[in-house]
Amino acid sequence: MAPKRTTKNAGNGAGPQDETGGTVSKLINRRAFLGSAVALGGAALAGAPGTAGASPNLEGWPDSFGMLTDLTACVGCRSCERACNEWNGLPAPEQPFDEPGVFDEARRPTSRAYTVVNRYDGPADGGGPVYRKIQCNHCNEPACATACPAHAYFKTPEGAVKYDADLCFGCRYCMTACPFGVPAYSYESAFEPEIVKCTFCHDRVKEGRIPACAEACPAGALTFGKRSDLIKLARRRIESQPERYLDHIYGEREVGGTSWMYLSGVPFGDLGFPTDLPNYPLIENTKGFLSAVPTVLVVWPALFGMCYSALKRREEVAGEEQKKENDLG
Amino acid sequence: MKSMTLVSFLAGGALLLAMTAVPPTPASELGGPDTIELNQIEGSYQPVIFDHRRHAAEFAGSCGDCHHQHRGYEKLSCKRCHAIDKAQFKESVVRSFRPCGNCHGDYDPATPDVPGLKVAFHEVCFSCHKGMGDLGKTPAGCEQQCHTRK
Repeated sequence: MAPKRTTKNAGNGAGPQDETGGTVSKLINRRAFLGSAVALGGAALAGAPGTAGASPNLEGWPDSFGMLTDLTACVGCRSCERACNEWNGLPAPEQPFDEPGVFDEARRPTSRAYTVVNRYDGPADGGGPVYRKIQCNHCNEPACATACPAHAYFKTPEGAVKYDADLCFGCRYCMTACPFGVPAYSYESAFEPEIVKCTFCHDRVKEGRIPACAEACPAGALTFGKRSDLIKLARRRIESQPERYLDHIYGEREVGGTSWMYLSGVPFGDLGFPTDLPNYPLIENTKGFLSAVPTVLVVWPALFGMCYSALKRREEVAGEEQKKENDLG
Repeated sequence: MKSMTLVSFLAGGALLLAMTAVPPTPASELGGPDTIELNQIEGSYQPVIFDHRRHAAEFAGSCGDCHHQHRGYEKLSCKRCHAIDKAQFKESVVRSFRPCGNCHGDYDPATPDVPGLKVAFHEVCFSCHKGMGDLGKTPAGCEQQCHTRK
């Protein structure tokens, strides 16, 4: 049985890699060695986390699945929303799925809808509006799982980031940690509230089926497959139609890579995508600090305790000697 | 000298005219179906009755305008879609397209570059119809030319 937690898989057996993708052992030279030694030494002295480049590149689970969302193909029919609602047995929406008025305001996934489609203005030179489907992106190294103190989140080998409601105690750190603002909370459940988000139809995928939204999409906007195949497919699309696509597969590298990836003809920032995300997993931002916590909590008390004991003992001895002298005197 | 230029110009023009004047054989004369009932979105919509004869005769220059293997970048082998038989090669090529559904059936994640039938149909229709009214741009477009709600 493969390990459940993605963090245990982070190294994936691969050696550390430099920015060009070659292994360090092959390309190392004196200057690089000295440079990294100085950098590491500086980081150790400052107590700062190591830089992203110093950590192994994350490849994610081999053969995991992904979804390629082609935002240039989406027509905003919301068939995906309807299919998701039906497959997951979610409550009926307040407005029907063919109600165009829902596009008037930007929505986000809720406990009643794992996915929503929002409308954005298209390019100034015409071509109509652009639609963006939002759901959990199923990160290769999920920040929600990192933040969860109860280990209620785990990344499956199939690609889905799943959530175990039995382990959750409702701290909602995951909602804060998610760079895409995806996990929702069922506030309406007074006694057993839980986190709600897209499951990447893990149940269907395990049966060999494709996610309900992808099956429903009539326009070819959602393509389900092996993540590695989808990256190649996305590159072919960009190469064959450079006038249609930006040369950027969103999610290929963002926060260490996500299972859901996107192609667009307009800048992702114009569609509400966060564009300030690093290309390394967000855990890198806190790893240095978190690994210092045991040191601070265990070594420092022991060290200072010893100093305190030694000083106290010296004072006691000095006090006793003083007392003896006084008694003699 | 001047007349030579004129003659060669006229000859070239005539050649060009001869090349472009030969019309491709209309698909309607090649044994294609007259209408095709598309019923992939059963449930929400009435079936679409696609007028193949009219599209072939009036809109498409050749079969390859819609039947994608001739559009350029997809490199499929001939026999993926035609029953290639030496004796009946021409007959086979023009009269016996395999139905689209033979390759575009249910979507298979192992071949993500081969869309399922529903997506394949939409992509082909959109290649001309996108931008006619709201078609292919907003949900309102779905019902403008093709789909009738049940």
